[in-house]
Amino acid sequence: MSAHFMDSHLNFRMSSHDKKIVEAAAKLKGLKPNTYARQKLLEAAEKDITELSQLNTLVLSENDWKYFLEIMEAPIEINLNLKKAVKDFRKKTGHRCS
Amino acid sequence: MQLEFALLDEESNIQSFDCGEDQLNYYLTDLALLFQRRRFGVTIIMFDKNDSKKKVMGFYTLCPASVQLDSLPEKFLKGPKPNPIPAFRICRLAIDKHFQGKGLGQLIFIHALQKCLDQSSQIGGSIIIIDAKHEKAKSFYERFGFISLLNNPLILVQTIKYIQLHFNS
Repeated sequence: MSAHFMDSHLNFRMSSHDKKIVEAAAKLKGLKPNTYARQKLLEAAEKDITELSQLNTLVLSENDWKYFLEIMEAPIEINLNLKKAVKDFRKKTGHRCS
Repeated sequence: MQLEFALLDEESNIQSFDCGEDQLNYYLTDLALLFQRRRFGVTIIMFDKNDSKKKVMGFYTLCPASVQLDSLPEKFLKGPKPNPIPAFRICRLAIDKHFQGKGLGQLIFIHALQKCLDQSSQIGGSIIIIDAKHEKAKSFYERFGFISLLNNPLILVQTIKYIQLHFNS
C-alpha cells in the first residue's frame, strides 16, 4: 500500500453486480471494500507502468542475430551525415563529447 | 536561440507540448516522470534558455536495455560475449510541431548519442537500440548509419564503437 496521505479522490460508478463481486472478494481478504479496491487498483496501475520498462530487453530472432553479428563486427565506414551532425551539434550547443 | 538540455522534472513546461502525435504527447505529459521516478529511464528535455517560459521544444527518453541471446544457438556466438549484451535504448524522441523542420530533431538526437557515449564510458554498454515510431522516423535514423532489424524494421541498432568513431573523428 502507498504510504502517501489520502488527500485525493477518484470517483467512478459501477454496476451493483460488479460491486457485489468486489465486496465478496474484499471480505475474503478481510478488507473493507474501499481499501480492497484502492489496493487492487494501485497494484494494477503499478503493473502497467512497470511493463513499460520490460520492453527494454531486445530478443533477436535467429536471422536478426546473424545480421546483428555482422553489424557488430563489420568494419566501420564513416557516415558523413552523422559526422556533420556531430559537428553542427558542437557548433550550435558548445557541447563536447567526453 | 540558446539551446539548453536538462532532466525532466516537475517544473518543466510540458503541458502545451504537441509533436503532432497523441501517444508521444501523452507519454511526455503523463508518463515520463513516473517512468523516471522509478528509474526505468531518464527523459531529457530541450528548451531555449532565452525563453522566459522555458517551453519544452523537444525531448527524448533513454533507458538501460539489453540484447538477449538466451534463446539463440551456441553456433551463432562468435567468441566470448556477455549475455545479455548491455545496451541503451532511445525509446522516445519528439520535437514540438512549432519547432519542427529546423534541424532540432538532429540536435537532440546527437545529444542522446553523446549521453549514451558518456554512460558507456562510465558503466559500460555497447549497443544503442532505437524504437522508430514509423517509416519516416526510421529513415531519419538510417541517415545516420543506424540499421533496422530484418524481422522488426522499426527497431534500429548501432554499436557504441561506431558512434564513438564519429564523435572522435
